[in-house]
Order: sequence, then C-alpha cells, then structure tokens
Amino acid sequence: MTAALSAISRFVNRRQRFFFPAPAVAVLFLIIVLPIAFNLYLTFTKWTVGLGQPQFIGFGNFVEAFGDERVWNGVRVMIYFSGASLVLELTLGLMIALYFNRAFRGSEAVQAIYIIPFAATPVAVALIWRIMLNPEVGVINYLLRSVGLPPGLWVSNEHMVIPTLVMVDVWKWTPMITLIVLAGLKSLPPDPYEAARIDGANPLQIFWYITLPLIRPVLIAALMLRSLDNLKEFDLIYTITQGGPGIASETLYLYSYNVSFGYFKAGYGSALMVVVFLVVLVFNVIMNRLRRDSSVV
Amino acid sequence: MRKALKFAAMAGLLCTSLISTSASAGIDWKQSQGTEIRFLMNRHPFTTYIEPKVAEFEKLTGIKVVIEAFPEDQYRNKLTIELNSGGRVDGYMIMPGQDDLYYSKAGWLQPLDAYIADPKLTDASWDPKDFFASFAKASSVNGEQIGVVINAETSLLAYRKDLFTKFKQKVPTTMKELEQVAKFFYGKEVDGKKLVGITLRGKKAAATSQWVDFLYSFGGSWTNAQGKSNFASPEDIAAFKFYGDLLRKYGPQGGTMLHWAESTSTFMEGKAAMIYDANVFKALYENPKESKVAGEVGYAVIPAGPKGLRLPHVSNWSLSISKTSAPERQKAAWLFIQWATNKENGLGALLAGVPSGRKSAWDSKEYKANDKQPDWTAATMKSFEIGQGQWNPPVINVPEIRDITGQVIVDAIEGKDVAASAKKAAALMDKKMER
Amino acid sequence: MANVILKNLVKRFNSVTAVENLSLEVHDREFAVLVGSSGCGKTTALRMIAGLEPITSGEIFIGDTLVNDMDPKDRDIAMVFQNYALYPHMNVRDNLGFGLKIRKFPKAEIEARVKEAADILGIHDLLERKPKELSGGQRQRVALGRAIVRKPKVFLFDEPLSNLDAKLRVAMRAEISKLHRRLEATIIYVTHDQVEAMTMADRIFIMHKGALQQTGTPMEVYAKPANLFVAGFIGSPSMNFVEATLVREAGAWFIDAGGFKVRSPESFNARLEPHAGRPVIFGVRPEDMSAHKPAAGAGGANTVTTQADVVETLGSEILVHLTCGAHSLVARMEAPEQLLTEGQTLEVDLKMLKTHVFDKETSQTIV
Ligand SMILES: Nc1ncnc2c1ncn2[C@@H]1O[C@H](COP(=O)(O)OP(=O)(O)O)[C@@H](O)[C@H]1O
Ligand SMILES: [Mg+2]
Repeated sequence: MTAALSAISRFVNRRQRFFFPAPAVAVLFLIIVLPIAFNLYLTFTKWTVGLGQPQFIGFGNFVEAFGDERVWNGVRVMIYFSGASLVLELTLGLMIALYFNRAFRGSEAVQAIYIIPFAATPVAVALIWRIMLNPEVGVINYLLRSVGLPPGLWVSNEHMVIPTLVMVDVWKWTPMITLIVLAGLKSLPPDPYEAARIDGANPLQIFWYITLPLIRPVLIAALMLRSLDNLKEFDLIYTITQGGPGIASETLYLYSYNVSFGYFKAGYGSALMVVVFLVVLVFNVIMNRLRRDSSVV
Repeated sequence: MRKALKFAAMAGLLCTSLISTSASAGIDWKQSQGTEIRFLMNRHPFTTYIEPKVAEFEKLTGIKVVIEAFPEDQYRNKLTIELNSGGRVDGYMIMPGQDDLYYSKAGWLQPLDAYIADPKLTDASWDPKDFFASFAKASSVNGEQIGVVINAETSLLAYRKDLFTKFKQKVPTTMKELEQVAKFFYGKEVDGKKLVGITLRGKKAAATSQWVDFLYSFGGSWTNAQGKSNFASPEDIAAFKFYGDLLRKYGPQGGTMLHWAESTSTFMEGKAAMIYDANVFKALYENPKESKVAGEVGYAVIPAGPKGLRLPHVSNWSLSISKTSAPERQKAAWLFIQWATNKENGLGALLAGVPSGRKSAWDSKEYKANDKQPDWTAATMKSFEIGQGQWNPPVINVPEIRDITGQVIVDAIEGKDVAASAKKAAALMDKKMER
Repeated sequence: MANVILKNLVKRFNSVTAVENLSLEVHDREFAVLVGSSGCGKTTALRMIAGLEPITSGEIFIGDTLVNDMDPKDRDIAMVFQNYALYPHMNVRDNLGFGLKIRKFPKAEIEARVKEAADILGIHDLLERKPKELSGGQRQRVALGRAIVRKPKVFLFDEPLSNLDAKLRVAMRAEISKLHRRLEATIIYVTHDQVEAMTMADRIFIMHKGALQQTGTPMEVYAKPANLFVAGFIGSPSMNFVEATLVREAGAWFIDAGGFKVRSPESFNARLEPHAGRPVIFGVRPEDMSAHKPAAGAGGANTVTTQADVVETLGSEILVHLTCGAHSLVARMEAPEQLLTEGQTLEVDLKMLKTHVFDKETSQTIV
C-alpha cells in the first residue's frame, strides 16, 4: 500500500510540469475550448433544439444566410448603427476630452457627473430611455411639446429608430471614450506643443498636425475597445426596440440571437454568430494594423 | 371589508369539507407515497396561488413536490434547455397555443387521456366535463390531451362606458361599426386630452396574438387546405389591412412599437376610447391606483366580420407531464396535476384572481357574489364558448412564423402595400414552415 | 536689426520668484550666453523671450518691438529645446520643414531649405527616419536644423548640449560657434556649464537666484568678476576662497588669513583702504599659484607654506590639493619633472596681481 503510494508520488513528482497546470488546463478546456468547438461544429449543422440530433449540412447555413433578407437587413442595420455611433462617440469623446484636458475650476465635479451614463447598468439605462422615448407618454415628447416643439416618433418610426438608438448609445458610451482619450492626452509629451507654437502653428493647426497624430493610436485603441461591444450591441437595442419597428433596428447580432434563442435554430443561429464574430475580427485586425502603423513611441 | 372576510371564511370552510370528502370516497391518494417529483413553473399568479397549498397535497399523498419557478421571460428558455438536455423534469407549465406542436414533436409531452380514463387514477369528482371544451381542445395535439388548463384567457373589446354614453355611441357589433366608432372618437378632446379611437398591439410578433381574432373573424386562416400559407388569400389580406388601417388611422402614434404594456397604458391614461387585448387586463383597467378609467370600462366580444363570424381566440397555461420522466413519477405528477386543477382549486385560483378553465368556478355563488364587472364575466364566458384554441400558426417553429406574420402587420400599420407584403410573407412562410 | 532687450523682467510662480528684475540687452548678431547654476531662472527667462511663458512684469523687446503680448509665432525666433522636442510622429524631413509648411512656404522653397540645413548639419542620410530611430547627437542636429531652416532673427538655445556625452559636446560646441558665424543671427544660449559659456560666448550674462550678476566678455568676467558668486562660478577649478582680514604693517597692506599672511600689491592700496580691519574674502585662482619644494632662501612675501594632500594628474597639467592651517587650496600648474608626493611640504607662490579681495558682508569685489 505504502509502496504503491510512494510510487504514485514519485510518478507525479517527476512530471510536475504536467500535473500542476493540469486542473487549470482541464477547466479552460471545459469552459472555453469545448463550447467554442461545439459552436463551430453547430455552424455546419441543421438543428432545432429538441428536434432530433444536429444534422451535418456543410456550408448550407452560410448559403442560406446569403439568400436571407433578414441577414442583409441585419448587416445594413449593423453598419448604419455602428458606423454612426462609433464615429460620433469618437469625435465627441475626443472633443470633450480636449475640453476637460484644459483643467478648469470645478472640472473634476463636472467630469464625475459626466461619466454617470457610462457607469450605469446598460439594461437599466435602456429601460429608462425606452420609457422616455414613448411617443405618447414619454417625457421627451412632453418636454418638446411644453417648449412648443413638435414631438417625434423616435424609436416608433422605422426611419427615426436608428438615429435615436445611436443617440442613446452615444449618450451612454461617449464618456468611456472621453476617459480613454483624456488619459492619452495627459500622457502626451508637452514639448512638441511648444515647438509647434514657435514653429508658427495656431491652435487648430496644432490640433491637426500634433495632437491628432500623437493621439491616433489611443483613438484607435478606444475604437477597437468600443467596437467589440458596439458591433454586437445587444442590451440597448433589445431592451428599447427588440429590433423593431418590424426589423428596422435588427442588427445581424440581434437576428442571430433571435434565431438561436427565439426560434431555437441552433445551427443557423451559430452560423450567423460566426459571421458577426468574423466581422468583429476583421474590423479589429484592420484597426490593429492601423494602430501599429501610427504608433510613435 | 367585513363582507370580504366573511366570504373568505366561507370559502375556506368549503375547501376543507370538499377535500375531506374526495379523500375518503375516491381514489387511493396514497398510491404514490414516497415519490419525489419536480415541476418547472412560470412565476405566474397561479404558481403564487398553488405554492403555499402544496403542503396539503404532500400530506394527502405522501408525494414530495419540488417546484422551481422562473420569471416568464426566462422560463421558456430554461424549460426548453432542461427538457432538451434530459434534465429530471416530471411536469411543467406550458402555453399549448405557443409550444404544443414543438414540444410534442420533440417528444416532451405525455398524453393524459389514459390517466383521465383510469378510475384508479382519476377521482370522479375531478369531472372533466366541467372544463370549457375550447380549452380542452386547445390543450390537445392530434386529438390527444396533453395538458390541463390552469389559466384561461381570451381577448375582449374594452370600451369607455362614460364616453360612449356621453357621445351616444353604440357598442360596435360588426367590424364596420368598430371602424366607424373608432373614427368617431379619434381626435375628440375630452378633459383636455386628445382621444384616439382605439389602441391595439402593433409590435411585430406580439401583435399576431390579437390580430389573429380579426383574421378568423374575417374568415381568414393561417394555412389553406393544401397546408400552404394562406396569407395571400383575400380574407387574410383584408384582415391585415383592416387591422393596420385601424391602428394607423385611429390609433396612437408609433403603432408599430406598441406591445400590450404600451397599449394598455394608453387606455388606462384615458387616451383611448377602446382597446382590443387580453381579457385579463381588466385587472389593470379596473385598478384605481394604476388606471384613470377604473369603473368606466365596458366589455364586449369581438365584433363580427363581414360574413358575420365572431371568432376570438382562447389561450391558456396548462400543466403537463414530461414524457421523458419515469412512469412512477409520471403517475405522481398526474396526481399532483389532478389535485391542482380540481374544483376547489379552480375556484380558489379564480377567487385569487387567476381565471379558471372550469365553468363551475365562474358559476359559483362565491364568485358571482363579488363580481364587480358582470359584463366582463358574461363577455368572457361567451368568448370561452366560441373561442378558437389555435391562436398561433399551426407549426413547430411558431416564433419564426409569428415574426414573418408580424412583418405584414407592421407593413399594414405603416400603410405600405399590404397585398405585396402578404404575398412575400406567404412565400417566406411556405419556405420556413416546419410541421 | 534684432537685438533683444529685457527691461525689469520679473517672473513669479506663486511664491517662487524665478526671475527677479532682469534687465539686459543682447546686441544684434551677438552670441549671448546666459549662464548660472541650475534653478537660477535661465530657462524661465528664455521661455519668456520665446513667448512660451507669460511674464509677471517688465518688458521684452525684440528688434525694438515690444513683444510682451505677441504670440511665439510672431516673434521671429527659433528655439532649440534641451530635450530636442522633435515631433515624434514625423520623419526628419517633415520635422525640419514643419515650420515652413505652417507658414505656407512654397514646396520647392521648403525642399531647398531643408536640403541646405541637412547639408550644413550633415544629416542628409537621416531625412527619412523618425526621431525614435536617431541617436542623441543626431536628434540634437535635427533640433538645430529645425531652427535654422526658418532663418529667424533670433535663436534661443536652452542647454542644447546637456544630454550629450562629453566628447560630442566639445565637438558640437565648435559646430554651433561656426554655425553662428555662418548664420549671422542673434543667439541667446542658456547653459549651466561655464566652460560652454566661456568658449562660445561673445558676451556672458551670469545669473544667480533669478537676478543678473554680471555681463561681459568671457575674459572680462574671468579677470574681473563683479562679486564672489561670479568669481567662484567662472573658471575651472573654481577660485580658492579664504576668509581673511586686512592689516596694515610698515606702510603696506597684508592679507592675514590666519594660517598665512601675504602682502598685497601696492596698486590695490587705494581700494583696500576703506576696508581696513574688516573681514574680507581673499580669492586666488588655482592657475595663479605655483607650488614647489621649499627653496634654500626664505620665501618671499607672497609665498605660502603648505602641505600637499592629493595630486591629480591631468596630463600636461596637475591639480594639487593643499592644506594650509585650516584652509584648503587647489593649485593648477604644469606638471613638474619630478613627481610631487602626497604629504610633502610645499611652498606656493601666488601671483598677487591676479588675486581678488571681496567684501565678506556684501560679497562684492573690492579688488
Ligand atoms: N512652471 C513652474 N512652476 C513653478 N515653479 C517653476 C516653474 N518653472 C520653473 N519654476 C521654478 O523657477 C525657478 C527657475 O527655474 P528654471 O528657469 O527652470 O531654472 P534653470 O533653467 O536656470 O535651471 C526654479 O526654482 C524652478 O523650480
Ligand atoms: Mg533650465
């Protein structure tokens, strides 16, 4: 008995570098590798949860996606929503960061208030907006009417819905971009600015030729970070519109969610998720390359 | 208040006496003693009603009941995933109109007819004839009953009695009159508020469950005799168009985003003369804390379509037995379902505000004595009698086809070309339909 | 015409006074060096001239124009920063051309000037590189180049050589001097290194604690320091200082330092008179002392007997650290043929005509 035990302990001792990480590797395998592998497998199958076993159909799901109007609608909505919100968030975030960067009296208090939207829980924020945006009983139209402006349909109109969602997304996420850019601005070297002033640049030229190129890597990093969430924005859109009116605000990600969890079509849903994932991946690879090319230090 | 107390005491007395009689005279309630069963439930008022009573059942039978309840938006996912992964579920709550075909095809529904027919398993006092036939049918697949109704609903037209009296309007009995009355009220100013004629659900898939009553009353149907989508038929198109026009022309702004919450709150704000939605929302309309129109609301069955058809739908939550469970536990589960749906619990639940599927409960003195809206009860009973159980597309992939349907409703509300939209949806439905 | 005039210039940072009542004039095309120990306000003064630092009070004129409220870009100046301040994201060519591009020079002109500057500084091969790909010396050249392409009236240099190694610094010193001759522009050059000041300056402006101490050519400030600070600051190694009193004996003035007593030259008498019996500080530069083994005859009146502590060999010269009673002295002289050994007794001859006497209380020079 003891001989057997000591043999085991010798065996383990000699192979420590396998045995010590083994539990971690096993857990990683179980919670990360396996689900991803299973998902990738599902991508090539036709399977409605509960109805039989996954059936291998090769690239059938992708072929179906190609001819699916809602997929194209989802791509269009995704580009519209993400394009508009990312550009606005980046622009506004940069502008506000520049403003905060020149410390002024009470700027800390203003900043603290300013980041509240970013700190708030997405679903709670979305719910509040949903109520405020209601065209009949929402406070926004009430305010508009009370100052004599015409009320809007906001998310209840197929043409207004994306701009409105973009507005909420910008409201929620610009503070995060601001914080990142502000940290970047604070870490910029001061002397190129003085050199540029002496070289004759006015504030606008300094911004364009010095600040912008120097802060560009930070901007791209912020964009990447934000795009990870934004391209598969869920909480906000799902809570406020569920993709409506009709499918006017149904992004590809939302559609893939509906297919997977509304229709329980796990195979097709997985394939659509993979498409979303690829879009995010490609976008980030491009951005990462841009960032590397523009980094100076 | 004193009246209510007296009433409650009486109801309690009645219950205890009934339990004692059924326990002594009928089947052997102890036959599954020692078995443990697990039920997944929606966190529904019925669940709230029955949970504290489960101890009585456990005492009566010696069966241990574990109930796990989840909020409705998580419940369906949770249940589907557990059933699919072969989790130990012996019984569960189901909305047959939504899920019966899917669950039955997936092999998760145990037919109940054999249990009901077996006098050793089913007490005579359970009296299956006491349930409205429309609900027994609604809880059946291919002629086999797969669930017992615990929550019975339909949809009604609710209207503002005060306004109808003031403006001398008649409660509409035909679709034509409905449109005229809606038109009449639209834009009228009352108490400084601009009225809309009617409010309806307009939000894609969510709208289909109310729109379907218009579909049937217009003589339309989900599918035709060949089993293909019937959306492109004149009747279906007329129903889409009527519903969309009604909401666009005489309804609130932003009709395509109205779910029941938005629609009912418009009505409760006093901003709409009529609403067509689930009958159980009476509880909302008549709650003076929430509603500005409490006490002013009248109720009627859906108006008749062009050919005189009045076909509202009935929907229900049922209790079902999991087919994947073991026979011994299935037997115990049946005893639990039988007990939970017996006459006293039917009445008890109704008195607790859960609409029962049992006629006897509605006809009882206890209920009638306290009924403040007899016109609602009458309309509901009528609707239960004439109602259709199939309020969803007769397919397995209900949510997907509802989405396709909802898109036509949205297009109709937005005033687009309904016929074109319906044709497109019909083609898509034919492609996607799974049966 | 690009002289630079400062009138009563003051700069305060809250409680710290960085520049105190600074008045000076730098002539057109002069190489002026602002020198002083670290923290004495040189950079602050230079930045006020550049327009980078708002002034607390006083006036600045460049080429007879009052520039107090003028933007840096309108002052027609170029500045070379201590840490170069190159634009990290631009290659050398763009770094050089930036000021011209901003000022809307035609492309061809920019190209010509960049080429010219690159030729002068020998940085042709570096034009396509980014600053991070350059060595310290190369960056220094680019920083210079960026200043010279603009051909401004006034160049401002803030310790441009302090980040370079010693050898490179010596080479660049000569180059900058050459450059000055070539550019024919006014240069205000800030440094804490008096060697740089002495070797490069037309005129030196010595600052201490925010205030100007003395102005003059290198030889003037070396030979005739205005006060104790200047005397100690200029020259390497520093002037030896000894506390002493003036005593009169037999018609001559003697400087009595306790450990030794030397006779002051007659030409000093008139100026020493008023300080009779008062505490003074006697100063003698190491290079005005020569040590030797005690000679046979008695030492003269300007000879001091000392003990050698340490002997440092510089090559052709040596530094001898000496003790004389309570005083420590350093002598600098040609290396003698016979090695001096440490601990040896030495006699030191002082070139009395080149010595200095300072008022101990006011630190001002007496002679
Ligand atoms: N921005 C500033 N804020 C506060 N004090 C400063 C600032 N810049 C310089 N000083 C102070 O002013 C004095 C002179 O500084 P500086 O001009 O940089 O000296 P130098 O260049 O001669 O070494 C120093 O005591 C320094 O601490
Ligand atoms: Mg300095």
